[in-house]
Formats: sequence, structure tokens, C-alpha cells
Amino acid sequence: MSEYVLEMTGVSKVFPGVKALDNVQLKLRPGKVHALMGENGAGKSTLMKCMFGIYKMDAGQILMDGQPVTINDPMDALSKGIAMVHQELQPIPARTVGENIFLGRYPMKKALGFIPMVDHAKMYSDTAELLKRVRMNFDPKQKVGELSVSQMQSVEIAKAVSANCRVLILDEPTSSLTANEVEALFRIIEDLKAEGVAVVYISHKMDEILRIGDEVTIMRDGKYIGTWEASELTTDKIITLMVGRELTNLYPKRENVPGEVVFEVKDFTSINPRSFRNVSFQLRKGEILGVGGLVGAQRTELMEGLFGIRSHTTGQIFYKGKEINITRPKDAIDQGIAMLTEDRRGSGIMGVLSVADNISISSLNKYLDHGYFINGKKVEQLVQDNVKKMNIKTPSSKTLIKSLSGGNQQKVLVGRWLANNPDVLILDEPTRGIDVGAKYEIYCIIADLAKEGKSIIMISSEMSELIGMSDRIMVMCDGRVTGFIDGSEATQENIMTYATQFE
Amino acid sequence: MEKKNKSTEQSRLRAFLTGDRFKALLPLIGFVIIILVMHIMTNGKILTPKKLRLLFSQIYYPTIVATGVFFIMTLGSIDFTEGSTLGVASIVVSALSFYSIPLAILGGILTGAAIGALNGFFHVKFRLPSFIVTICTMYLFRGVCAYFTTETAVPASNAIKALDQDWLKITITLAVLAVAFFLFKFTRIGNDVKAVGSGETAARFSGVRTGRVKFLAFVGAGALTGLAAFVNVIKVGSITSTAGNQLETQILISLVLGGLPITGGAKVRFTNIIVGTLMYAVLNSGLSILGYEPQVQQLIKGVVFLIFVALTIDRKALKVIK
Repeated sequence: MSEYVLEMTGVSKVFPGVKALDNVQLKLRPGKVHALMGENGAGKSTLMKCMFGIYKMDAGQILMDGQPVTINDPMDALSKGIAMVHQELQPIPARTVGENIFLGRYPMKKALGFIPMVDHAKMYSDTAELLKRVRMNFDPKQKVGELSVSQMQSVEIAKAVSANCRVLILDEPTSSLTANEVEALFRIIEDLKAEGVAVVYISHKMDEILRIGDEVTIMRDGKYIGTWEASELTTDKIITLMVGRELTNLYPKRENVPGEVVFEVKDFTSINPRSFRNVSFQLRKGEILGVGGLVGAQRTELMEGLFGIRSHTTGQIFYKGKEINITRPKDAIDQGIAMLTEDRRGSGIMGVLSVADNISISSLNKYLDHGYFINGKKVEQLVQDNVKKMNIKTPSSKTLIKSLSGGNQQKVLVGRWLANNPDVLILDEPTRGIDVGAKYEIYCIIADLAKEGKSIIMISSEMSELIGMSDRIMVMCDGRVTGFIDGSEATQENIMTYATQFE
Repeated sequence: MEKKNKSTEQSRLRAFLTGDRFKALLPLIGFVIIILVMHIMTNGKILTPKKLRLLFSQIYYPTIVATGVFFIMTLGSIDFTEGSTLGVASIVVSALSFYSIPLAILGGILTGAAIGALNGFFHVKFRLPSFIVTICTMYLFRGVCAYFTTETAVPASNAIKALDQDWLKITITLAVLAVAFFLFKFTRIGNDVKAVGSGETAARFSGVRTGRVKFLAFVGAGALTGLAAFVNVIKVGSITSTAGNQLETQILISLVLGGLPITGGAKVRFTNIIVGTLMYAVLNSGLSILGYEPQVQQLIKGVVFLIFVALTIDRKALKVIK
């Protein structure tokens, strides 16, 4: 009998262009809570998806009770006693608690001895039993859609328990729970530990890890850093281990000089209570303001709010000293604000249209003759200017944008916004999915724009990029701004400290 | 070495057959095949001057209607109201033709535009898929059409019937095509329509007023159907409850025959309209010359439609019919 219920060793996984996991290991003891930690993109979720059979490993093996096993898909994982509660819960709201728990594996009975039928009585009595085990006392026949988020989560855990799981993966389980609900979750986890279940607990919240975790495995950039007893660790030590890497990217020298305040946001709050709230900040002429935070910090949502894509309840936006009102993207664009979105494919490029169509869409009124007719020559001139200025590699202006590389698509989109000659540029993850060479070119473009006196807000989840490019860094956590750090004083540690300041 | 060449050739052929360029050629190939098949089966009867004139006389008003629907499908939306709109607008045109011809034309266009505005309003303001909205309004206006034609057919004035001349219908059709082509290719509105069809979110984030663009497209398509109603009235002279019956299906078959993917989107080509309506007309008159019963004709057209939809559909766009 092995001392581990499940071991993953030498796990590697390559996605096109990225080594997501590189020789990673994870060893789970029965009856222990094993915390898995790392920055955004460290490979935690990828590792869990390999364990749960969603991804296939390129190398490495999984042992259960010391015996090698292969896990082909989630059904396979479940049958071997591995269950996962996803960060985004996926219940069927219109069906009952019992039906959700036994979905796809309803207890059956034979009516008249031969007609197969669902045994509802057994299903609901079993559900009541399971709910008792997770200390929940609601009606098994209640519709899941009527439950609170924490109750839905308990249903998911009950479902995992019902599969007689031996390994339970909880991916950021407390991200949408209140303090009381977190306590309830911890009681369930304690019960499961007592029953000998190994729990993998993924979270960014240090205090939770130190309270409930028995062991901690830390990952960074797809690599295994080490495993420690939780009692040996402190918050500071975890952060140092999570981010402790050299700055590998090079950044262009910046010669911009921040001037007077051009853009100011006061007490900006979303209509969605879980999203951004009470955000205030100032942006200077020629300044690069970095925005840091973990996934779920609501940075993108905040920018979309400022750009008129999402609605806000309270808050004021001042632009060059005057209060402005933005209710749709066109309002923001007319004021001289531009936003490069994070999801280039979904909300940036218009794939089946040409480079010329894509680059001219926001500033088309400038190329109209007599107010109606598009002047092809002026558009062509715009394309050629940008191709030259930003070194865009495209066969012609008629080429469909989807056939360009990510870096060139991004340059076209930057060109789209610059054609409007904006004073404020919001760049949301401007180098995501772009190869290293093109990244440097994008950095140079950003640095040049700031030098020309444009004000730039840059969201980035890459710590080194944030530190390397920003004059000032605004850090967000859970919808709030938790701190500002001067670019020269920024370190991965102090950013991470602000980024994990949960209420 | 030779074997390698062969396999790359094969994969190149496969890439060509599944690629966009082949899909763009497909309607032309289909057009030639349909003409050849009809030519052989009818022993050359289809290409006589008399038959050709008849053939052309069938395509004027469907072409005008298809041009409007083309814009809607470029958005990635769909419209099922053409038939009922044509019916209602034809009644208006006929009734007004006793007072003044220009008034009749204007009345037809305004009626169509109003129905288009209703579709656009529900589609944009209530965020209902156009598919759902236009099926509801199709049913509604088919009812209106039936209400006014239950007792007797609605007659048109002799003055309007006297306009039934080829040159007029050709001029109107060509003018519509020319203006639409110009709008589609060289103006802001055409550009915005393509932008919405290619990626509504990206277009909105780039400052396109997507709701307004969609609304205008529906109003414009309705207005064109209203104009088509005028061309229809001068040809038929009186309006019965079946006016414009199944026109929406005919337009959809035509556009798909012309190579327009049923899911729409910015991949459309302007030639889809012309090739499509011509192909439909050839198919239609060929089947008549061959002496098939109307029911059998419908069955054959349905089979052809199904095959073309399957061949030209853009599977990546299946989730985004708006």
C-alpha cells in the first residue's frame, strides 16, 4: 500500500508555442488538504485538467495506490474516484438538486418487472442522505436555480461525494463566497478529510491556504518549484516562491515624461455588485499606467465600463478637466479614447474582412468623400502608413486579417485606434498570444506613443511586463483598487501583496 | 520523392475542394451544370428567344427583393417576411394606383419600410433573433393580406397595368442592383453591415452603432420589397390572397443557389444575388417545360435546396445566426 492515494510524476504538456507543463509532480496523501499555488498561467489548471482527463499529457504518469493508471476522459476520472468542482459551476438551473447530482446515472428500477424507469424515490432519499453529509439541509426537490452560489457549490461537492471520490479537486472554491459560506465550506472539507479523501485546493488566498492546507505545492511558469508542509510557510515566503524569477524579457528604454492629469475616474462602480466598485484613479499625459491583479480582479470589466461597454451605477469620468458621459463605445471614441481588447479574436479583429477594412473601421468618417463614399485611395494610404510605421507583415491591404500572425493582427488593431488620433489608449493584455519578437515591437510602439504624449492604461497579467513598462502600477483585487505602486519601486512581491488583499 | 509529390498534390487538391475559393466557384459551376442539364433534357427548348424572354420576366421582382435580403443576410440575420410584405404592399399599390402612379409607388415602398421597421425594432430592441421575429411577422402579415383579399381579389387601375413593359422592369431592376452594389462596396453603411456580419462585438467596440445598422438594413430590405410590389402589380394586375406566397423560400433558395451561405455573414459576394436568381429561374422554367406538376417541381427544388445548403454552409458560423 502506497502512502499516496495519487501521484503524478514527470508531467509535461505542450500547447502550440508554449510549454504549459514541464516535468511537474504532485503527490496527494489521503485525508490531507494539498494546496496548489502559482501565479496566473503557472499551469495549475492545466495540471488539474490532465488529472481529470480533460487534457492528455505529453509525458509523465499517474499512479493510484502505487499502480499506474491512464485517465482518458472525465467519466474515466470519476469512475476512478477523482472528482472536480470547477471554478465556474455548471449546474442545470431548471432541474432539481437530486436530478443534478444523479445526472446521467439515475438509479433505475423495473416497472412491471421489465420497463426500465428512473427510481425517483431512491434518487431523492439518496440525495437527502448526501446533503446531510455536506451539512446542508435544503429540499432535494428544490430547483438548483433557486439556490445561492454557495449552496450550488455544496451540491457539486455532494455530487463528488456521491461518486465515492477519493480525490477531490476544488478550483478557487471561495472566489464567490461570503465569509460565513467559506466557514461552511471548510467544515465540509474537514469532514471529507476525516473520511480519508485527499483534497486538492487551488486558491490565491494566502490566509485560507495557511489555515486549511496541510501541504503546499508551488508552481511557476509551468515548472514544479517544490512541496512544503504548510506549517513551514508564511505568506511572504509563498509569494517569494511563486514569483521568484529573473526578468527575462527586455524592454525598450522609455523617454516619456508624465505631465498634467488628462483623465480622471472618481468612485466608479459597476451595476454588477460582484464587479468593480469605488474605483478612483488619475492618468497623466504621456504616462503609462500599468494595471495588475489576479484573474477575476475585474480589470477588464473596469476598462469595459469606462469605454461604455458595461454599465455603471455611480462614478464620474473627467477628461481634460471636463466631466464626460459615456454610454456606448462610440461616445468614448468620439472623446478621443481608444481600447484594444483582451480577446483579439472575439472582440478585436473582424476575421473575414480585409486588413484595410479592419484598420479603417473606427475612423471611416475621415475617408469619406461628400460624407458618403469611401475613398479607397485614402484608406490605402492609411494602410501603407501603418505598414511602414509598425512594420506590419501582410501580403496586401486586401488580405483577410485572420490569415495574419497574432502579432501582425495586433499591430493592425493598434493602427485602427491610432487612426483616430486618441489621447487615451486602454490596452488590455496587449501582448497576449504574441511571440517574443513581436512582443518587443509592441513594447516599442507603446513606449513611442507615451513619448508622443499619449496617455496609456495597460492591463497585464505578466508581472515582468507590468514592472518593465509602467510609470505607475494600479493593483486591483476582487473589483477594488488595493494600491498604487511607483514603477521604480515595483517588485513582484509588492504587486502580489496588493493583488491578494481580499476583504 | 515522387510519392511525396503525389501526396502533397492530393492534400493540395483537398485543400482546394474544401477551401473558400472553391466554395466561391461552386455557384458558377452549378449554374453551368443546371443550364446544360436543362438544355439537354428539354432538347434545347429552354434557350429559345421566346423562352428566354419568359424566363427573364420571372426574375425582375425576385431580384429586387433578394437584393434587400442580401443585406440582411450579410449581417448574419435572416428574413422570412418577404412574401407577406410583398402581398400587403401590392394591395396598397393597387389601391393607390387609382389615384396616382407615383403615390402608388411611394405607398408600396413606405408599406414595406414600415414592416421592415417593425422587424428591425423587435430584433434590435428586444434582442429577439431575426429568425423568430420574422416568422412571427410573416404569419401576422399573411393574415393582413388574407383579410383584404377574402371577398374578391384587389384590382389595380388600368393605368398601372399599362406600364407592363420589359424596358421599365429591366431599368428598375438594374437601377436597384447598381445602387445596392454601390452602397455595399463604397459607402459607410455597406461597410458597417459587413463589419456587423464579420464580428458584431468587434464592430461595436470599434464604434459602429450596431443596433442602428441592423435596424436600417431591415427598413431598407422592406422598402425594396415594397418597390418589388409595384413591379409585381404591373405584371399581375390584381392581387389575390396568394400574392407573394412562398416568396421567402424562393429568395432563400435563390441566394443559396448563388453561393450565399445560409448562415450569412460577411463572406457573401454581391454576385450571389444575380447568379442565384438566374439559376432559380432556369431551374423553374426548365422544370415547367419538362411538364412536371407544380407539386413535383416543388419537391425537386426542395432537394436541390437541401443539397446546396449542405455544400455551401459555413459550419463555423452555425452558432451565430442572429
